[in-house]
Amino acid sequence: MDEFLSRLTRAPRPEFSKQLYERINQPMKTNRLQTVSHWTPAFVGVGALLLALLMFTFPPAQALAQGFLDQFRVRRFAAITVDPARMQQIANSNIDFESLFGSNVQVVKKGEAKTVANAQAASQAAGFRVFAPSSVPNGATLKETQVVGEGIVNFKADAAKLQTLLDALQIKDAKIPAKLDGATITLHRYPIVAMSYSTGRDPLNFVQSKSPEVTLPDGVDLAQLGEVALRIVGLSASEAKQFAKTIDWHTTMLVPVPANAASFREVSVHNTTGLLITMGGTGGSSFRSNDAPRQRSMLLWSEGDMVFSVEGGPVGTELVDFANSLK
Amino acid sequence: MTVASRWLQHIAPLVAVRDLNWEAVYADELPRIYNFFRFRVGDGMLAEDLTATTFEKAWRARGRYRRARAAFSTWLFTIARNVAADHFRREQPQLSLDGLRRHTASELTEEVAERRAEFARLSLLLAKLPEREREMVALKYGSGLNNREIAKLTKLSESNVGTILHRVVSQLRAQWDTLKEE
Repeated sequence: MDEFLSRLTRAPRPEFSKQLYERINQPMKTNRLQTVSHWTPAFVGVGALLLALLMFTFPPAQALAQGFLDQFRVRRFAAITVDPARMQQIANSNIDFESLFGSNVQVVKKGEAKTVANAQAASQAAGFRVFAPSSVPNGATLKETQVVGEGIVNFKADAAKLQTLLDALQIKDAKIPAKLDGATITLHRYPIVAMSYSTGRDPLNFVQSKSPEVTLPDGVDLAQLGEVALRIVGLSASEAKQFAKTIDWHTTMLVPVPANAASFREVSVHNTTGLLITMGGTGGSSFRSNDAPRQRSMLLWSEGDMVFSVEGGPVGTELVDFANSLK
Repeated sequence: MTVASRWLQHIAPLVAVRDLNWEAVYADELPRIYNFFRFRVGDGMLAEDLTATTFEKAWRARGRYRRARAAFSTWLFTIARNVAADHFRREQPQLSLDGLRRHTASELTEEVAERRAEFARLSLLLAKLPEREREMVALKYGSGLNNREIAKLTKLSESNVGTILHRVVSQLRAQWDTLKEE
């Protein structure tokens, strides 16, 4: 009987197998553009969370009144040290992040990824002048250049779901702006160019794009929502209030950095200020079973209406050299 | 988080796409997950739908997978079990011998038809089992998990899993011939 039971298994239909694979394979391809790192999932979750909250805080009516530059676009990256215990708490909370921030997602325009031959072809495909390095770390060779097309997505914010997260984290005193609920948020992502390099060690990934834009109906209290975000990543009520006042929420992208696993510093890059984050050794989780997490660094900066990131195993100074050689 | 994380992934790529070979994972795990659902809900499109849901959820949640906590297959089967539980919360299982016979009537070959008919009979027996037992049979014989893996998923002791499965299989064996003669 035992053998008989096992014998009744059956291979999935080839058509089903193929179709399902293709359905999830597209995002797989797209995500190969991402740089690889060993940031902990909690860190990622909090990072996306904070970013999403930041995105919620842009009132377009106000932006229209104040002019073009006030529209939410990344002009500056700033790190915020966050409590790893809180990250762990979020990771353990079993919160469905997939549906946390909104529902009724409407993909107005879906950017497809395609591989191009070189930076010139990438410029043509992306519609902006693509920067390429004149100096790369020793042994690095360009492996692939990809362009992801423009994407536009609308979705509705759901305050109740955000409140669920606050409740799970036992944050009692933070108030979600009433006008957030049901607000339609539009994310406009411009074409992205991603270059990946083989280094003989961990790969090096360079991403550039025009800054994305976020719009939200008028009436959401920007600072209030910012405080909520800061509470979520572990700041106390007074810290969050004080910190929120120092941030230009229209142009600053906060990057949460776990206090026990990463360090960061500001560096001079291409005549502007960039944020260099280094993680390694004690933090992060590697899927490799036979080695410890290796040190990885990420450099983020903005220049004009462009945002850039370069990330990989090379040490931070090499990433800065890479960035400074861009032409 | 979907929309925000997509944006984040492209602009400030902090998302961990690690060394997991998804193509290999897909090839290895698809038949196991698919047969888990076949043993839970029977043959047909529903098993495929639930399998697809599981893989789509796994892909979207891949950033939350941690090797330090569980083997990938354990993580994937945790998702599959949740997908199954969600399904059964929404709908009660609906199986009838007539329906299963109709299902097998159009098979192309006698061998395939016989195999399907056998599985249909088994599905009827499985449908009568309590939820926990049916799931354990699906994990053991549909997906090929060993008792230790099942124990880890179900939070039962390994010996308890062995005892339950032995009892359930004995019951199935006793009922099998009777149903076959109907």
